[in-house]
Amino acid sequence: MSATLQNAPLVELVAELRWATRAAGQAEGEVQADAEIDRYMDTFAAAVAEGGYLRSERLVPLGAVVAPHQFCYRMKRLDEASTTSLFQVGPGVFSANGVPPYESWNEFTKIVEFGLDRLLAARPSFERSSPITSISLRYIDLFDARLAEGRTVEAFIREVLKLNVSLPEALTRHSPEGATPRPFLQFQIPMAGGVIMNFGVGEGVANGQQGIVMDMSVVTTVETAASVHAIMGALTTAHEAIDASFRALIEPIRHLMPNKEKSA
Amino acid sequence: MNGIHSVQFSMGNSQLAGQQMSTFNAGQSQLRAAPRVMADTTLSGAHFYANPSASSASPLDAPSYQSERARTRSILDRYTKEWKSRVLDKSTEVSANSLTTTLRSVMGALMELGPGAIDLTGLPQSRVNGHHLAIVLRATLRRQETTPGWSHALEVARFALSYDGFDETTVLSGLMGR
Repeated sequence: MSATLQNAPLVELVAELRWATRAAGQAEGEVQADAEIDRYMDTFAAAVAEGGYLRSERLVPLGAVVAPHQFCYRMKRLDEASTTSLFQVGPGVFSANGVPPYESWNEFTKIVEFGLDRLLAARPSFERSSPITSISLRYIDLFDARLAEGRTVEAFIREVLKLNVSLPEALTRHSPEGATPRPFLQFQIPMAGGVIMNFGVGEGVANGQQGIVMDMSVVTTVETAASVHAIMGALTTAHEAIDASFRALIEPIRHLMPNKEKSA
Repeated sequence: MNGIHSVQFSMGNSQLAGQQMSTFNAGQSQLRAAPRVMADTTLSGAHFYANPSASSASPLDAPSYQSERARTRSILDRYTKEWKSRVLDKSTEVSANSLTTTLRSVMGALMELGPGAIDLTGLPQSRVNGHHLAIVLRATLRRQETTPGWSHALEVARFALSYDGFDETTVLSGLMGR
């Protein structure tokens, strides 16, 4: 099991899953949030409130047309200042989100498991046994000037991530002397078992701080049984892949992120 | 390199970045606005393209994900058609070669597409070939918790074998009582 890093650049961690909802079969892909779907979200909100997620925000106005897989409710802890996790639900969609201070993957999985357990019990009766069509685990990281050791995004991508992309003269001919191209890279990398890794890196801003944003996610393309065990299995596989890739990618600046004493 | 990729460059002119984004084809393109979640994260390159908040963007909305999912679906359908047509045919030969053919389809699906590739829900008992379903159940035995409908399919196999005059306790040996 990998150790949690000090000074980790994590901005946000998102576990999201989707399933086919009755809404998805409607004409024009949209439905009015009907009573049963609203009831499932209310049931979920009440269930996670028992775990301290007492604050429920409606994200779309009452009576508004809600698209399938659009988040309608967000559940947070009452004390927003100390919020490090939240849940979101909507027709055919659920997410658990985490932000620093991120303790460890193990701690986050407890939150996800708690939410999943309540979700699977709360889903509308006509969807309760529906398999999960998509699962995504996503990490958004920001490397500030200190972690990037002052490198430009181009230098960071080349020297740290070891991605070498060069522009042909046909494009650089328009650039003034001394100007440096600023890359924004995205890759979709097939993995075994019907899983895809998405990788993106470029300049960005997180919480008002400029830096180099790295966006990594692993998503399933095959249905997963609607059980906490099966879903957590997929998320764990995704975490292991992202964690291994991340650690290998940041090796040149690993000295800036020593292991925390407490293992994850 | 194995994998779809997209590479964009800006020459220090943000407007240029936005124009180049129109050729963007592989990543986190966001077609619908969604509220920010927790962090307020923006990718400069993506900023001009679509959604200004990377945090609210889901990779599950990306066109590249949808196309990959469609590709996976077609592979899955091919495997499913292969093993299901044999399981749902009482006249499918029960021999080592024939059972191996069924097993090969199931294992192929599991190897290529993972544990969710075999869905055993909704098998019509009246059409099930118990011997071939038993092979599928054996192949997924260690993955039964991640195989939809596994427990019910075991019951279906038991009834089908019994109805067809076979000793289900022998054919399903090692599977019953799990």
